[in-house]
Amino acid sequence: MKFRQSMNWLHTWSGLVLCWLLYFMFITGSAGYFDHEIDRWMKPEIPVQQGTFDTRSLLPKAEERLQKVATEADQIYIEFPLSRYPFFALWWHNPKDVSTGIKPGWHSELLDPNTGKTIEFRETGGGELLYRMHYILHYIPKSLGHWITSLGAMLMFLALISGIVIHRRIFKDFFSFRRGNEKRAWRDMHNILGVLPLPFYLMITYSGLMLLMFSTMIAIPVAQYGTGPELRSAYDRFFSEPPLREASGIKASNIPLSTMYNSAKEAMGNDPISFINIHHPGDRDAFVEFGTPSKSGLDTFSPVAFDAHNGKPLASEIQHQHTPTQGFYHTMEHLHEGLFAGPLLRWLYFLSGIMGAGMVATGALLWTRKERSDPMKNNGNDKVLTIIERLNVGVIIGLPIAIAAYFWSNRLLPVGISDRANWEANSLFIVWFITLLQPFLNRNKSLNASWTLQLKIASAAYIFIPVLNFASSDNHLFNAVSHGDWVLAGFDIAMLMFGVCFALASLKVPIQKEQNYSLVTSQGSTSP
Amino acid sequence: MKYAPTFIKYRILLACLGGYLVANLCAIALSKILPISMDESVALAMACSFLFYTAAIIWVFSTSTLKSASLGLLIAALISLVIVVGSQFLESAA
Repeated sequence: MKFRQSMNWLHTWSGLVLCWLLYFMFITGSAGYFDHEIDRWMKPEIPVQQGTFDTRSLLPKAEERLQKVATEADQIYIEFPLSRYPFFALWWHNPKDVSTGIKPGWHSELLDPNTGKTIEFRETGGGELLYRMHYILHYIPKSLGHWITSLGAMLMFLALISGIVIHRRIFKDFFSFRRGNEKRAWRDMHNILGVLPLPFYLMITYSGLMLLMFSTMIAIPVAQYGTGPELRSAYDRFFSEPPLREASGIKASNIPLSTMYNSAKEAMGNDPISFINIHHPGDRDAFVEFGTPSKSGLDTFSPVAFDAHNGKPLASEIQHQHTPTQGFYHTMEHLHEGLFAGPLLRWLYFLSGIMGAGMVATGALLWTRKERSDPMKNNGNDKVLTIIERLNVGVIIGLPIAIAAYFWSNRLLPVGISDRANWEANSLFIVWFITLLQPFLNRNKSLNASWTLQLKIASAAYIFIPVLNFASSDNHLFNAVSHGDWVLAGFDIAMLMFGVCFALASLKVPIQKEQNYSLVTSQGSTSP
Repeated sequence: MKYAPTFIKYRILLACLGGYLVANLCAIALSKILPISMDESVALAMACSFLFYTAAIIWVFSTSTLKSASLGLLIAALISLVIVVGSQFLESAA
């Protein structure tokens, strides 16, 4: 009995201490599952795309451009617009060579698939920035962000484990929702949101911890390798995937890409080719990898490789082999990132993440309601509780509003200003700060008023995003739908959907007569 | 009635810092005794360290007295240290 009681205590506090951080991580991380889609919308200079492209016809356009810009490159990567990745992108890596005077490192360009011309797009944080926030946060050094988010994940993991221990009737809880009693309805909601995607939570939390373990658990490798170069090389051994073979340094003619493209196409059947990776172009040991989206398993792509000197396929045995632990790590990484997921699974990932945010939010609200109704504590604790209750509004509804503001700023900020991507992020946090303040400003009004107001603002902020898109670009919903560009149209449709959810939630609030009941009705709409 | 573990501030400190220390020590010990290559065992031990941390924290909050909570961590740390030192000794002897 006592063990379960202590686990109950641990569940409450490990969940509560950083619940706002966990909410932020769940929301921004879930948005990260659609980072390419968000990126696409935030770069409206990329024209609406008509259906799928024949990558074969895009190849000469890529080659023509590369012959101009990537003459000295030692690696070239061509990405074709395909399914959820809608960009026609060139990447090239220049070696460090002072004599040529060419800037070393990676360079990239986006091409218009219709014309082959380079696209100049606005400086934007895009989906990438939103996604990165869930593990490095913002405004603080990266490593500090890793530690803070890991701490959050560790508390989340504790809350999950202790949550499992205290629910004896986990299967029964899963099916019970009792509307009548308010506090019980709360608890049931928290249980349903907690239990339904439980395997997802366990996976996402533990893999999240593992992804950052080289920051947070650095003492373990240090104990073995010390802090010197040996640690570095152990790290490299674990993470680097060496190319199939190194450059020989001897110049030799390479056969044309299109010839190898045809062989690759043959080897892959009818699968579309999503990328071409050229290693050591112009070298005797040059080789080219062609990738197609993987159909099964957790890998994103399954590549085939060809010798660029004689055009022969390279044996797959020399493909980099993972050791068991590396395999475990990469499996966890792939599960966490979900890059392999198709549209349906991707939405399931997203919804599981949003349910995670809902679980955290209902947990936080359940706690405030329990504290309020606790007859033992109706004294000095009230002030702190009031502050927490009001902050809950600004966190739970304010964050989605702030993310909407991030999208709005993408279109409203002048295109030429310096540091534009940073100002998009600043807009997010300025608006979030305002929503956090708002419940304190009209202190005379009930908490309900703040919930309703913020839900209404959230609903308007999302519903008008397609309108904003219509006004500020040619990539609007009608244009996208009529061209069958569903990645682009999907963004606007999703925003409309979120807006409607917030609107429905805001309508439900005032129906309740009892003050503060709004706390109960708002949890259905924690989506961004 | 609400239940809360006794000496809560000390337990929190013990769980956060002591638990982290013990998790690291246990993982280092594990990396020494696993019969696989060094790179492999270090990475696997790192992956397991979060389980050790979780177990340590649960131990600290579920034991009835602060003394047994601290003693448990201390014993786990000592066993780990013995393993680490012992394996170091065997290594240098070999």
